[in-house]
Amino acid sequence: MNKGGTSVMWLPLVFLVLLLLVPLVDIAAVVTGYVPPGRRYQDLKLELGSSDFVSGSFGAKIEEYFQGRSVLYHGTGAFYNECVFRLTGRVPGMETRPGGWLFQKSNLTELESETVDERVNSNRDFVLEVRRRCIAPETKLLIAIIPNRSRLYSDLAFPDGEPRPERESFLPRQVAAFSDAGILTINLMEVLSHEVERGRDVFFAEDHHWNFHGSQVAAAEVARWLGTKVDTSGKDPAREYTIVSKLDTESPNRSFTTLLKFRKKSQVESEFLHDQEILDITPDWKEMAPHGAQGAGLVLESSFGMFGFSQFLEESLGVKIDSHVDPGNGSVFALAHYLSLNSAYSDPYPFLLWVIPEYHLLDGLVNQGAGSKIKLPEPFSEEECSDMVMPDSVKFRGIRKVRRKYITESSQPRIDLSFPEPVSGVRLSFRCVGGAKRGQILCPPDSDSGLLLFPRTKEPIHYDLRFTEPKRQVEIKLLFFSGEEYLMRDFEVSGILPSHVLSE
Amino acid sequence: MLFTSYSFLFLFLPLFFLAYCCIPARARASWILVGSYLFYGFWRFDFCLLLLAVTAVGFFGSILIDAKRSRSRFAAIVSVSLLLLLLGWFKYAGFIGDSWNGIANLLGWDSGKILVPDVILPVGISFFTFQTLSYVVDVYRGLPPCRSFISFAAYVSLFPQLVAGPIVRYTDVLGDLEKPRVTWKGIDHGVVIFMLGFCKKVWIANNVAPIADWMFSLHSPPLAVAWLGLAAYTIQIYFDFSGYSDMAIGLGLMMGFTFPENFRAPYRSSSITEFWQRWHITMSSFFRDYLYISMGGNRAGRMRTLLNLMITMLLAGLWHGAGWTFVIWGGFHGLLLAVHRVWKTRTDMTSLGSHLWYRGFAIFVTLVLVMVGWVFFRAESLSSVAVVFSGLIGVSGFGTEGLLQGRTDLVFWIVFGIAIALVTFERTDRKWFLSSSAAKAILLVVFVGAVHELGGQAYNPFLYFQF
Repeated sequence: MNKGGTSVMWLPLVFLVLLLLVPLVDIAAVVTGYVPPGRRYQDLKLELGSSDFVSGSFGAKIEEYFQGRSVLYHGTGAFYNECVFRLTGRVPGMETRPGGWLFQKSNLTELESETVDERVNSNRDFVLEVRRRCIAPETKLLIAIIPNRSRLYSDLAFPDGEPRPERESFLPRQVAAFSDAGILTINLMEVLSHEVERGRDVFFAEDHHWNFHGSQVAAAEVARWLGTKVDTSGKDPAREYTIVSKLDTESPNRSFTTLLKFRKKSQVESEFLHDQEILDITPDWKEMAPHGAQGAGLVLESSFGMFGFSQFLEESLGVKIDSHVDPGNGSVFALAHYLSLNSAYSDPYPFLLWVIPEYHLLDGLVNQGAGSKIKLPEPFSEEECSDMVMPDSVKFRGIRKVRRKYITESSQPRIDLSFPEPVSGVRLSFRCVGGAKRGQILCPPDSDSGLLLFPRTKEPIHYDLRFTEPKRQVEIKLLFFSGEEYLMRDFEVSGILPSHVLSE
Repeated sequence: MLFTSYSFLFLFLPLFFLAYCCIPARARASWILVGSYLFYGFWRFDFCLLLLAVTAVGFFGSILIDAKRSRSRFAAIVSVSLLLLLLGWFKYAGFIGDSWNGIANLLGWDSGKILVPDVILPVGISFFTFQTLSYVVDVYRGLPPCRSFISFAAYVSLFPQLVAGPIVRYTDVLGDLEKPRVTWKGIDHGVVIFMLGFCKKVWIANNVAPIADWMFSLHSPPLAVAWLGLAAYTIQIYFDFSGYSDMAIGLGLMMGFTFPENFRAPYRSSSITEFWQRWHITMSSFFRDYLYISMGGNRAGRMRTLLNLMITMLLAGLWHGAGWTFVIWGGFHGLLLAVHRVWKTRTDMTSLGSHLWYRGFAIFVTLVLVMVGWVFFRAESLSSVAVVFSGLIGVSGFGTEGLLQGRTDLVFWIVFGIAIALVTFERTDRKWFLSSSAAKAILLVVFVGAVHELGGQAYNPFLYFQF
């Protein structure tokens, strides 16, 4: 065969073999139950229903199933990242330090002074607003701040010793701002750094969360601090926990490695860098969520809570507490979820502990959404709601309706409303039945914007948006993190008339 | 189904294509039909009925048209009307209803308002309806109709170009449809072009998309942010759409079809007229042949020509989307085409056009005008258009805060995208890749990287699916 012929031959063959290899290996793996050494494989169920054929979810389920089952694809992805690390000693997008300690580059840069000022003040104002609106006067609001990993391990994070004064000053300034405003604040820096000085690690080397030891130390400190400020007498005793220590093959959350290896959906995991010791605590954090019976206090936290903080705190306090952990989300979302489910004034907790990582404060609590500033909902009054007007037309863009369910099709869907007469505000009412955890409602440019979309709720929630001027045509945007569907039910919308606003 | 999805790449394509190569040539049209309906119905099977309805109208309509020796004008009108009605209902009912209610609102005529239907827009309806429409008109103009329903249904539903073009006319595939010939050379060329398109979409379009989305979602973008976002969208739409077209052309070649080219380095155009000869060529030639020329084209005097241009572009805008922003986008381009036409007739370009500096300047001006047009095309509402234009002229400040959203790699993709868009030519580049084994090997590595990259990208949908 001539040269041209050879050139013609090899590419189609390689291309087709490449494409065929993936499904064939995957099919073989599924049939034989094979899992590559050192890798964990989460089983998936397809669960196709007849309605999937006409609801638009058929393809999505197949796609998700196929991606999830693709041992070869995910395996090679993880393998690639491992190879890069083993060959170069570096991990893309990360600063790699001795002992395999990873730091996100963005956590090491110097900050602008104005940004620090703005964040410190807006965080303080936001917490004050939360306390004013949502928390019963009898309840003590406590803030516990988890310092950044790079702060505790500054020798590793900043080996050059180059000063970053604004970054260093942020935490003390934030604590001072909270304290000056009368917000009870616990800075966990001292107790955690003491452990580090003793040679005990309090954070994972390749993960931005604290480890179980860090969480236990912090819980003891918080319990000691609470004991002097909150009366928990007469409350139910702490649950009995079973704690089993094991090596990490099923780490509840290893963000850096998840980010590095799988980049999207972690269905197959691989051994990477460190073996971590983790604790399996029963009952787990999910069973500590408030379900009717009320504990001596409530703890709200982001995924740091998955490392046993609430359980350790309960044991240290000796009384039962309720806890809401929002895995994978910011603490603002945990708060939002709690507020959406509980009436703050019905039977107040003695204390509400809000555990906030420093990096959330650095991002700004009001920005812990999908990009726009968050405003807490100021509900319409009963008088305002006494005579509401229904829209003539409700048009969804980027949202498809399947019977009574509304499913987002894009990360920025839109609802266009047309009212028969100008309205001064709009009430959206719906309940989320699944999908994206992070979302906001925007109503630009002249209304309260950035209301949080609450994740899964049992009852419909009202989202009240006020406008600066009455209008007939209303455009409402929903904003989600890309790639996540949001499912709504019982969707209703109505407007309030200007006279009611004026009479207020 | 998306070409850039795992279920297409690793499930549908290998299984479909392997069987396609193995079965006899005469059975391939049937296999295409099965595969295409599976491809189209992957998300929602009920919409396959719409595809079937459009096919039936085209097929039986053309038979009826051909039944009379003199061609049945009545049958042609009925077929075209039915197709336009289907398109109108699914794509424009909401738009017409909203516009009507808007006018009634303005006039304070509450009783005149109508209930606006909430119709789901089927993917690719504009493409397969227009394809069928062109076939019906061609039959009316004398083309012998297809006598095999299977072959015709396979033509309408041909999956590589079903949902986002290029718009393939029946005459383009007439010879291949009955017995498509699969050759190693065709597969080789097809694979190269498919991989090129895949890389364009995944590496460039998807990587610049977040910054464009971000800018268009801002309430008051500062000047630098507005221009950066617009540049990102300019790159995104080109590489997204031309990438899809390349993948469609490549798949077609692998299957034994030669689809028409859809892009020829459009951002290198030195006039808006030239831009429309290089951008979405199959659509512009469709509007030229079936609308512009039918209205008289440039044969009925200067004013009528300009009017024809304007009407054609307004409808082309409306074809892209049921919204006033698309109509304005079409009108904007119609106006530019008309102005350029008048300018050409009054200016002697022979001496100017030979200067390199003039051509560079003309390319720059054309690109800026096209970018301005993209604001209408991308913005979700007229108020968003105003917001973006305010940003572009600096009304919302000049600041660069948060310019790159912490992603400096976006600079690379934007600069790289501009460079590729301005430097390369589709056809000559392909020749280079097709003639060199080394180039193919490099492309294969970049393609594998793109498949890997795909796993980390949340952003993926093709822009032109919505049309």
